[in-house]
Amino acid sequence: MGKKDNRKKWRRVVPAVLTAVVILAVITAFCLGRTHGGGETGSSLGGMVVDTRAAQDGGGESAENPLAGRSVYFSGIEDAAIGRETVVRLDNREENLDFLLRYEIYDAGTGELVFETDLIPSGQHIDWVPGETLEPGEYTLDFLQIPYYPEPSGRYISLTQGSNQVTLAILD
Amino acid sequence: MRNRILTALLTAAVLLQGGMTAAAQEYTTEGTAECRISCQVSSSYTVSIPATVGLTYSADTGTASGSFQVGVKGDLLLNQMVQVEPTSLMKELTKGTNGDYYQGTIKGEKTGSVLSVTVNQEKIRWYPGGTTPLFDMGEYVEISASEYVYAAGTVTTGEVEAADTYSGTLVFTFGLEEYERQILP
Repeated sequence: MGKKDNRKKWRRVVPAVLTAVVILAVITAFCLGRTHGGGETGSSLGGMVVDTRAAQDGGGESAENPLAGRSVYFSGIEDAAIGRETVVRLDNREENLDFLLRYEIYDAGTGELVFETDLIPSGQHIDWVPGETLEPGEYTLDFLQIPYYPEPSGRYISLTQGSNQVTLAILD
Repeated sequence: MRNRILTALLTAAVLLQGGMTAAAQEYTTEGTAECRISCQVSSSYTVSIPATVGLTYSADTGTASGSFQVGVKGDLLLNQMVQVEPTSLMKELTKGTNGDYYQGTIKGEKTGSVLSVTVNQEKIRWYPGGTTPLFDMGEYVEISASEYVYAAGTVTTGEVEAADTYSGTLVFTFGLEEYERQILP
């Protein structure tokens, strides 16, 4: 009685266990696939990203994306008449936390690059004296502000950029 | 004769003295003087834009779309407003109607294929309260000095033909504009 009962038991238990293992394997594979897709999205370059694989996985933007829901903050620069020695402060606002910011300043009339900075950490600034670069006169300048997110791997991801158009009169 | 000459000299001396006194009194008269003092504190503002805009692909429509918010905080002179609008996505955007900006593109990392993109942002102007613009400047929102006031936007691609990771850099242009105002009663 004991051996026959045991065989019957095992005949029921073994298929159930095998089925459970198969289901677990499928779920694990599915989850790994999702994680991989999310990582790809987060490491893409540029301020705008669409990963069509998200739809295949049935999800949207990855919850692991360190940039999801974050904003970049830019200071507005006002039109001004300045002297030849006046300093214009090019800052990276404290709210930007780990984002670094770089400025490229263009003459809107000619498209010529007038001045550029290196990467500025948040809460810091670089002083620019326009009178040292430009002759006295009136200029329309585009202050292009280019933010970056430094990845732990050492790569820099370019974020959405802000361009501030300013009329600057440099007095003699 | 000598007396007449002396009298004439004395009279002249007295007149001159009197004249000088009268002239000096003009400078010592008490009174008030007015001097107008004026000081203008310039406008200042900060713009908040999304660090990235993630788009989600829809198999039903064959397109990808996403949303974003642009915020502005600041203290403005009454005749100034802040304008923020999307101006470039890999190339210059063309402004259409109802807040649409056309001709943007994003590019596939592996296939190199290019997707057309439309950005929509209906409200692009932030103005100080207590005034009404005299000209039609479209949709606008009132600015706050203490907190960001946001305007929503959307990004929609054309039909996606190949699976890939598409990306591009979006640029928002912002600045101060002057406008004619009407003080509300």
